[in-house]
Amino acid sequence: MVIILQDGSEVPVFKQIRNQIVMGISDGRLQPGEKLPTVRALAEEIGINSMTVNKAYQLLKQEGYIMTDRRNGVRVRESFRMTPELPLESKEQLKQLVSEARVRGVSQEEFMALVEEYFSAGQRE
Amino acid sequence: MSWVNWILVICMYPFVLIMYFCLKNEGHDPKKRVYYGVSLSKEQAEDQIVTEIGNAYKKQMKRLLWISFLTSVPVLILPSFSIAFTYWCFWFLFVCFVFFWPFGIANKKLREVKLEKGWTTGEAQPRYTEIKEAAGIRKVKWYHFLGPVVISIACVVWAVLQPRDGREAMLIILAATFGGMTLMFAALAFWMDKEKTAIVSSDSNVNVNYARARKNMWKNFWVAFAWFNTLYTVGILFYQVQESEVTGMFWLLLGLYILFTVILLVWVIQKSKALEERYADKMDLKVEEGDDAHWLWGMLYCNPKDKHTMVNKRVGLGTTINLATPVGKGVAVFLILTLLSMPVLGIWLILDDFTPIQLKVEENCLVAKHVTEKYRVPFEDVREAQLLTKLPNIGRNYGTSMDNVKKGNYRLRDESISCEVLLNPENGLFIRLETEDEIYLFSGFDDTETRQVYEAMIK
Repeated sequence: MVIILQDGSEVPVFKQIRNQIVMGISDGRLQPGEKLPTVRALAEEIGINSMTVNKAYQLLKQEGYIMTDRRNGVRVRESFRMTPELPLESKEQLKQLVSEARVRGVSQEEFMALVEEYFSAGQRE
Repeated sequence: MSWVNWILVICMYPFVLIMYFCLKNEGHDPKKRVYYGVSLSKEQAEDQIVTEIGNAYKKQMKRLLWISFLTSVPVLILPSFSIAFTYWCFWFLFVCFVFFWPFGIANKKLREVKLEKGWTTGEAQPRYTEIKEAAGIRKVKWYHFLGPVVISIACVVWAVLQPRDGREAMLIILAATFGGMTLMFAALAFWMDKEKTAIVSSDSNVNVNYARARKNMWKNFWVAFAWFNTLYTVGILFYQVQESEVTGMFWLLLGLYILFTVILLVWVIQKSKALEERYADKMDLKVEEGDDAHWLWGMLYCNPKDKHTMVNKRVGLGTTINLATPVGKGVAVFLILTLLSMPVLGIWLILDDFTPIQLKVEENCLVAKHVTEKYRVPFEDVREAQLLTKLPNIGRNYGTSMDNVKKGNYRLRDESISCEVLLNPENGLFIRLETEDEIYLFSGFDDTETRQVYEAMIK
């Protein structure tokens, strides 16, 4: 899977890594149980500090997307035991997006069509 | 006109052609959509002004190719080797850098055009990283270089253990220099193997396989180079311990080394082209636009946010260094100093060639001077002095050996002992002095000076 990081972004790099991995899991580029690179290897490959990658992995682990153990390293969870509800932060982001779309004159139908497109494209196989 | 000059020039012609064709091809890569180090879309690349910049670039490159060939001619016709060699050093530097000039101009123009036409957002663009097998694709193993490294170390040990007969210093210098190069090649191979996976496709398998093939090619290149260098070291040491000296052997060996390097470069270029062609249909990602700002003149990579020192070149063959990292800066300074040291060496040769030897008697001492060398032999130390009408059979341990000057530590082959030498071998008279612990061979600027000094000394 190719991850894309924006150097000049306001979103911190560890958050960008976390978001990219969540997107990868969502659209099937990362399969359940798939092995992820170690903290050191990923930091070396991106060319950033390993603390940043470690922070991203800690967050993903805390949120229940990945699991780590000594024998198998870092892996995507086989199943996600999460409540089918968006966290508060994501809800806020969605609210912001809807507001922006409304200000720009995007109709509700157009907005919903986009949501549907992204949702179905991200259906896991 | 010496045949050594011919070797110097002929060995460089393939290098000129390699520089020309590599940079000509690297000018634009429609597959990666990079034109003279600037990323453009297909539509932008078809713009009239881009075509004009491209045509001007090709024209300039062709002109410089002819200039490179023509400017090599003086090396063949200059009468003095030291002047010809110095000229060759400057010409070498010229060839190394001249073809980058049109590239830099085209890059500057195209960036201006891109800005004027509003083809760029000016925003920082994303960085792509392949996380499949991140930092896991390694083709170089320690045992690939075990043979060359062990043999090179053995050569150094052998040179150190040689009897102290005056030749050991040169043997150690040669073994350590060439042996060190083998170690450097091994280090470079490991370094290049750690390079970031190039993102050429949205398919991770394509990226990983492409990276594997590329790294394997470079591994083979460095292993071949390390083995050749090792065998060359053994050969040059073997030649050094021979009692007979073959005229021009040094230059012949140097020519052989350059020739092999060129052959290896041609091989890696061919392999690289074949690899690019094999993956051409699978490459569906263009080079990131945002990288434009990190590529100075489209050629030199400088990105402080990237910790990698060795990075893939955007287009064309091989890798380049990130000038923003401390190691990258160090390597760049080292390379520049190495290249600039070549003309300095040439100027030193001219000094050696054209400075006359001074031989005189001064305060009951025989004084011989030439550039930085100075011998002072007190008469009271001299056990025996002879005026020779023929130069004895001598071979260099270390020092200078030119047509009109020999200086340094030499070996008297007939007697199998070392001596200090400062003389003009084209002369007919030489002074041989023997002291308690040294033998000296001197000559003056000409035979008259040598005879006068000898007679003054005898008195």
